[in-house]
Amino acid sequence: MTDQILKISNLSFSYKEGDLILDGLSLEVFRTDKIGILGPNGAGKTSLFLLIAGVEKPWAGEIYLQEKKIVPGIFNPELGLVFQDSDDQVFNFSVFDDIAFGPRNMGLPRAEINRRVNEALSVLGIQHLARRAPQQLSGGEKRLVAIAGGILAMQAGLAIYDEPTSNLDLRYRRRLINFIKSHKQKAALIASHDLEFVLETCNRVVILDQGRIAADGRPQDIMGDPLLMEQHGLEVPHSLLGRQE
Amino acid sequence: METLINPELNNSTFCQWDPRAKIIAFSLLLFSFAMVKSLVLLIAMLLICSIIFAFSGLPVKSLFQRWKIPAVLVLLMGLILLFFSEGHPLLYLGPLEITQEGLVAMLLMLSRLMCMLTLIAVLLATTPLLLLITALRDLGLPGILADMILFTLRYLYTLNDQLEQMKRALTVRGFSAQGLSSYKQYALLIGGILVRSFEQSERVYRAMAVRGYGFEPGPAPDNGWNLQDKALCYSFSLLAFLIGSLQLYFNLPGV
Repeated sequence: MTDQILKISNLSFSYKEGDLILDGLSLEVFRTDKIGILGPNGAGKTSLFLLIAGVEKPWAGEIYLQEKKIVPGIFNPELGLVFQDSDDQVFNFSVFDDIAFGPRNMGLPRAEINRRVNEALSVLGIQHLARRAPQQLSGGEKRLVAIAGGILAMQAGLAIYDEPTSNLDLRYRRRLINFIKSHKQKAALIASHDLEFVLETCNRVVILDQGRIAADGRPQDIMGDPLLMEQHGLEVPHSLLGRQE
Repeated sequence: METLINPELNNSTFCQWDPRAKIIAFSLLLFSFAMVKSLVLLIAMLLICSIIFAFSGLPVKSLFQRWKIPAVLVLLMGLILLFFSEGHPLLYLGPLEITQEGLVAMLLMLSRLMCMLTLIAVLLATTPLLLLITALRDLGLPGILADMILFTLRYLYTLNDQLEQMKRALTVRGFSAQGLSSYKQYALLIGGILVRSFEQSERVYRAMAVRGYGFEPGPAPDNGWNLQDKALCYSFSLLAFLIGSLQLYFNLPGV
């Protein structure tokens, strides 16, 4: 079995003609990769994720997930996506039902669905939320439920997080960091403006700007380069500033 | 709203009953109640309704709370029947005439509607709405319709929060609800909510598609009804059939 989990070749995408969001993007992701996707607003991060998930159709190029071509509109349980706004993702009436939504659509037997839901709840330490309704949850709790349903219960080989720390307090942010770090064997793509979070969780960083990959490498090398970061509307994280001086 | 979606369930038989069986039994009984015209059956209907309510274990107060809004409309219709039905005069209240036929029609309508409202109240108070809609889907309600009902209920809270937030944002910037211009502002607010909800619906659909909505069928639901479900469903159906048949018999000329 190859170590490569995702391969993107010459991917181009636009919502309307002539206005390219992604322009010939190529990327390879390996099993132990935790890739931080950095870039200014409108760089194409969310569009890239929707294309990988097969929700949007590329204008050109191909995506392979575990050597299987992504066909837009076809369900890929090997992939889990956590959306920017948890309210969009936690759409069921109870936390339990929401986490069970993916496994049910995978056609799993009832016992296996229950096992997966309980395991996902216990990994994140949110068993007490199982019977709660989404409107009774805090922002941080909703985010954990979204991760439990979008990634853990699906047992996805590739996890994609779109701005996972937005609206999270420090306590939940720390829980999320610990969770991602503990999943060493699962590949992840993480788009975030929280550079310290990326620095702590990722072992590879990609800068995306104007639909292209502007840089790809070790987090300390890329994020510690003030010129490169400034060129793409980013800043060197505070924790790396000391190293510069 | 919260009590409608997630009612506090007690240990009564009705709470344990399979929602599908409950929907069938209560619907049949509702139809038979709607047919009642005879005074004898009216008394039987009131008796059946009282027994069902007693078995539901619900507090009488909760019933009055659920009756509150429809009762106004029902009472209004009853008064129209009482004062504007032609027939043998019984009493005069100024220019208004109360007839025997009007009184009977009012009593009949009030009893029928109140009994039907009681049955609906028992159904809603003993079944969480989610289970009720899932049961309706199992009974043949189109899936897309069931999903739309569920999403409407789920996102009402979110929309309400957004509306409250927008109202607060208006207030801190000096807006006060006075004059015609305030209605214009409210219309803009509602328009904004509609546009936002449309955009959110697209995002929710994407989130659902990523988790396989519409691609693979889920496992077949556990369709087994236990003996108690069957017994209750059959007995309610028999009761409804009896009421209906008796009413048809009473409708025959010469009876």
